[in-house]
Amino acid sequence: MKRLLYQGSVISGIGFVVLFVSKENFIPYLVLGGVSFAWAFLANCCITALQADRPDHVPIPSVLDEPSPPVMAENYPPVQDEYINPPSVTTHDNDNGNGNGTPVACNSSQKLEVNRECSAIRSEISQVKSVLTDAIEKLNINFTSLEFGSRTQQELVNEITRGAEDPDLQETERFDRPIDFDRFAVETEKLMTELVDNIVNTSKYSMKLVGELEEVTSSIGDILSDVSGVHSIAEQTKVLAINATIEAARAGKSGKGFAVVAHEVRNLSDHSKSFGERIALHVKEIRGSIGRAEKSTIELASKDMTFVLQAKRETDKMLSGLNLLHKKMTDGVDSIAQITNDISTNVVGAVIAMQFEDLVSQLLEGVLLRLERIELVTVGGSSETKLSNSEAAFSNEEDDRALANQMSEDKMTNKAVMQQSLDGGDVELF
Amino acid sequence: MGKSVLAVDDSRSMRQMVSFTLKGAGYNVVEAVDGQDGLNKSKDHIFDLILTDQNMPKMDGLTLVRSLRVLSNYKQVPILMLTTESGDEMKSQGKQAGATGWIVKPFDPEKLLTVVKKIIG
Repeated sequence: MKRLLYQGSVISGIGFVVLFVSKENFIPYLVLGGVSFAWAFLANCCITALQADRPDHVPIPSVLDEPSPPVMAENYPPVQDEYINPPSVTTHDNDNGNGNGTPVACNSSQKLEVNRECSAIRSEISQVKSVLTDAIEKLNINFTSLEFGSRTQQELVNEITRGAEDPDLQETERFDRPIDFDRFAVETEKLMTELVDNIVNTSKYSMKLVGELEEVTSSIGDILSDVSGVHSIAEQTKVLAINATIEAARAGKSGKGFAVVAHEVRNLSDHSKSFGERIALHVKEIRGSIGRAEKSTIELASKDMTFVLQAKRETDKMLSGLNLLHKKMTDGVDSIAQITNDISTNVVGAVIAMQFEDLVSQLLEGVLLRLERIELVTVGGSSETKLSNSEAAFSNEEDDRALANQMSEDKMTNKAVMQQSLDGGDVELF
Repeated sequence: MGKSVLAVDDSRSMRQMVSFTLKGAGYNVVEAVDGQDGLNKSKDHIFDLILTDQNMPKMDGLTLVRSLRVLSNYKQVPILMLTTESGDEMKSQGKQAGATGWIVKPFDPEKLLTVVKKIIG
């Protein structure tokens, strides 16, 4: 029976090691393999202790002895009562190997050896649990820190790229935030288009203005012509005043008053002439100014639009380049987000998988319990574990059966050990 | 101030995982190493939620639930079992003892958080 347990454990250990080598998530398989080997070691120790003083002792083959032939039943006689019963236990008429059914007890050196081995196994299992717990704690901290760092990085990237486009931001807060690239590109393009349109419109309006100024210049020519008419009227009025003066002189004393009027008319004529000349001078000055304005307007209207259009094309090209750069940045940010999500998913998976430590701890507790039972049925228990002798008082075959049954019952009732899946468990709310 | 949760488990690493998961979401987490420790801490402070393992030394999870349900302050406080036990009989015992829900280990941190948020917000 123990031999079967030993062989089964060794096979399980090999199985778990194979899984450990073949799986990415190797830690659980490594530990489970270790537990299997520990169990195999335990079974091996017990069997070795039982056979230590037997004259027909045949050593149990080690896993490393392969491919040595399997030990046959005839080479490996049944374990006798004397090797498994405690000293105080009396067995009854079983075939104990010496044929006389005499009660046989383990001697003190055998008990000491088994106790020592069991203590060593207990100590090593405790050490495994301790090392495992420490390692899992550190892994847990590392994974959690990794996830936290990853999320922080993601938030920073989002913060950088989101800019002022956060819909949650108030209008006043937007001024304090860097502008979003999309908005920048749209605004710049809009401004450039408006600028070019304005320049083109200015040119168009300037041409129209030139036409208007030409009309004004033409009108000024008419004014000057009219002003020259004033000059002519003044000259004619002057001639008329001279004639009136002559006629007044010819009339003698009675024409004296008329001579005064004629003189005033002549003065008025001089003033009119002077006034007309001043008007003509001012109008000429206006015509000069308008002429210069017309020339400037013509220059403005005929300004080459190529430069402006070229500048717009260059700006469009730059914006296009920036757009490409922005797209690369956005893709990069998306990739970072995806990586962050992957890290989170993997960390969650790792946190779930790391809970195998709890399962393994419970399995190891089960191994310790079984160790105690084996110790009990072989040497009557250690100083650490004392059960009633009646529990261990079985004959050889009865003992094997009872132990197997007890282990089977333990396995059936120990549901914690049955929980072996490392997938996330179910959640049920009552 | 975040809601307070008591995490009762004899496994240090399990307590740590529960603690990390819930603290990350803004909950205050107090740890207890077994049922007795959990009961003592529950008397010192009224928690909004208790998460407890079943198999623990000194006092197991179901005993803790029964002990808490006797206390006037804990008649309505949600108590979730977080255990490797997955049998219907055990769940039934948990329900009878007054547990609010049953989560089978290993737990998914996101699922745990979802359940906790659903129960205590």
